[in-house]
Amino acid sequence: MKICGRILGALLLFQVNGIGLAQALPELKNFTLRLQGEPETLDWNKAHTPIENYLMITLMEGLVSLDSVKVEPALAESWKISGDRKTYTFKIRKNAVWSDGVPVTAEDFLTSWKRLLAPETAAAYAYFLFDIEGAEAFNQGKEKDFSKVAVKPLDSKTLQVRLRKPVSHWISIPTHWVTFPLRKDILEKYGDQWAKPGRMVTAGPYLLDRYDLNSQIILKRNPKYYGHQGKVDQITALIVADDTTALQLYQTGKLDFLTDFPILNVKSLSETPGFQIFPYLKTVYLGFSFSPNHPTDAQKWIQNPHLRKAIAMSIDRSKIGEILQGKQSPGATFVPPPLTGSSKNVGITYNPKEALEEFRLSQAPKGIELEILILNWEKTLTLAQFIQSQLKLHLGIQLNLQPYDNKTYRAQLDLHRHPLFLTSWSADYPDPDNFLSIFLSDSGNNRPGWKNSSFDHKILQARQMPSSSQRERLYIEMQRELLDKEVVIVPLYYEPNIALVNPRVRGLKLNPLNYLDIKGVEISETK
Amino acid sequence: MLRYFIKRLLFSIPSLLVFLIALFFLLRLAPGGPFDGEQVWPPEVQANILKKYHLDQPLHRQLTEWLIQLGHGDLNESFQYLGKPVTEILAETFPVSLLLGTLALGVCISVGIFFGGIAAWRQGSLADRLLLFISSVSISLPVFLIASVLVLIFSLQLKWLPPALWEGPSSAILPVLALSWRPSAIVFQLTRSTLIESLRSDFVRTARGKGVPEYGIIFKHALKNALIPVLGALGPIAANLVTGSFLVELIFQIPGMGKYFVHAVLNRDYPLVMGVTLLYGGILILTHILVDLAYALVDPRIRLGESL
Repeated sequence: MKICGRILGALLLFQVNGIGLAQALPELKNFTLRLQGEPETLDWNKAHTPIENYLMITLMEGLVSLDSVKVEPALAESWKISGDRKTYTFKIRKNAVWSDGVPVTAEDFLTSWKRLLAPETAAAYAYFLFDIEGAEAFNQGKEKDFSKVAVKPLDSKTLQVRLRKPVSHWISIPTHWVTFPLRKDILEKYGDQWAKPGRMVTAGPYLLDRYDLNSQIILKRNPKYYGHQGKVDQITALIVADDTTALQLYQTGKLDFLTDFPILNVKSLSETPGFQIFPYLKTVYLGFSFSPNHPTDAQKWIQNPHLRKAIAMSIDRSKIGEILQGKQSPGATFVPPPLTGSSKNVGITYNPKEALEEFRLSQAPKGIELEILILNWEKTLTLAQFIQSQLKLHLGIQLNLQPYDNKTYRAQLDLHRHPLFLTSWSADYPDPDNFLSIFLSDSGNNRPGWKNSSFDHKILQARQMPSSSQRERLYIEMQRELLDKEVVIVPLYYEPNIALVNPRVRGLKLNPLNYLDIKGVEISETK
Repeated sequence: MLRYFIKRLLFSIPSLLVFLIALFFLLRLAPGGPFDGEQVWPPEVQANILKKYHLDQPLHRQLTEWLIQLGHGDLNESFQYLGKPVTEILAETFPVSLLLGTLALGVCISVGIFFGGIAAWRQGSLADRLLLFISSVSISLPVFLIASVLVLIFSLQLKWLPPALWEGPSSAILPVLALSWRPSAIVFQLTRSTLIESLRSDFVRTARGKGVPEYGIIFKHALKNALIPVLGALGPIAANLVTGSFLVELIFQIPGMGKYFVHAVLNRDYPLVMGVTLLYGGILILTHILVDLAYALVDPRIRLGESL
């Protein structure tokens, strides 16, 4: 019976949707965007994949937000940093209210941060708050009392946070959605099931109106939002997993905005109206494995810096943009532009002649075979084939490609079984620290497994430096060590964010962290 | 007949369970876990995640827990869609696949049997040879090619039908066509060949001798006999169609459960894989039993229950 009801429901949905759309379109300003898959969750404490990006930022706000890479006031109208740079005092806007009219208070942040850090929540991004005094111990379960974590509401509109040590980039942490506030009464009422239409309250420009699993998510304008009201009445996020299908939907006018489309189409699409390129903080790199568990001959050869240098010198990175057809720019520093610490003068440049000399110095035998671990995606395969041809051409190295599905690939990366691998890093917060700290000796994201105590020391030193020019100098110095001297990785290219934006849409902003700002979007009547 | 049905249903439970237990262990052999992603979380965060989802428990305990929950009708929460119970995911997506699959099954049976009848009736004619050629080509065409060609012609060129999405009756036409294309060809070929055989049998000769018109011989007398092998093939075809097709649902962006067959495995979403497989296994068994029941309706010589 239940199934019969569901089928009837599915049929009804057909009707309602068909009629609903036909009647509502003329009066309602609707902006349709594409999600690449089903969001894992809309619970902002737990959401951690790029798919949730567009929705989180549109639904909700944190203490501060990002305009491009600059931190701006959001729910907090201002903040003060103490002289020792460890205490942050945020003043929350008086007119900031939730979508049900209840004022946003400092207590709401406490509720959210406590939940984010609680071991039972098992939130992946809990570590974002580890710089706060007592936070790490609370997450480890060593400290059960949350009052020992230095997050204190001084009054209903003032929140004070105390860090263990000064951290220069800390102000970018509360821009991330995992730190967005939560209402205690809503959590108590619905538990982990709060992030659903009819239950979720938001304090951002839009609110969650409807969620059809595997199909679409509809957001409506939040009339209680403190800031400028968005000009679009409704946002429809269509879940379209297949790239080609998404492209067809754009071409038939059913999508206003999409990113990520089939690689071979980029060239022909660059002529289509609506084609736009946005900067993106993402570096794709070639890594070398430093901690082989079962060293083979190839892994022993790769420990030789001359061989790594020879490989780095024999890849002509200026050709990658042409090969991948996605407007990629050749990589130099690991930190991508426009962040401080990025520079064109760091990193090994293409030089086949010197590469051969380095190869000779490495004393590796001629025609050696090396394996490279890659994802089985079309783009990575194309890139790996290019590297394969370059190494064959300039050094006579036989590179064997080892493509795997995503999960197997991640498991293989942890095993360090392949001397070479291709991977990427994209920013969580716009700071060079977010890039370079992955090479800390104890970081789980240190994929090469390279350990260097002086590098670690410099990272921690730079974190505490107040002057940005001093920090920049140190970041450049670190990367000379990482890229020129030790050749731990070879930054191959910086990935831009390519998007198709329907020409009827104006005022759309996409920041380098792939945060979509829909507040300023206007839709002209004529399609 | 009802007794036979219930008996068969009960007998199939142990086989389904053995199948699920084997799957449970096979899944864990695949490298990588459900929470491995682009980033590696700090060890304490990882420990919290493993604890919350009971992945730190020994395998046999995880299995017992799953079986106990299954006994309570609970399939656990998905590891990928956090906070979403697997039963809820199936309840929301299966009806869509069921609707699409039933429509496709309808098309497949009517088209396959109708044209199979025509081809057998006019065996050796131009129509028969043409149909045979089309069906042979159709069987060897992959579904994504059929779907893409349909979209190219009817959506992008002629602009008659939407290229994707599940928005109204018109959006069901192309996916139903794509989904039923290949099975229709299979049913056509089976019907044609068994019908030709049964047209040569004695009872057809008798009917002809009595002066029964040719269409009556084909669609009334011979077809009933010829349907038995077709019914046998329809069991698995029906199970495949109603549980959704990964490719058709992906290409047309249909919110069915077909895509979980592939995605849940790739994401190592253990509870969802188990749930999807349980449903698929159940339906497969159910369609087999229904086919057996249908045999008895078509052929009175088959007496149900006697062999049991």
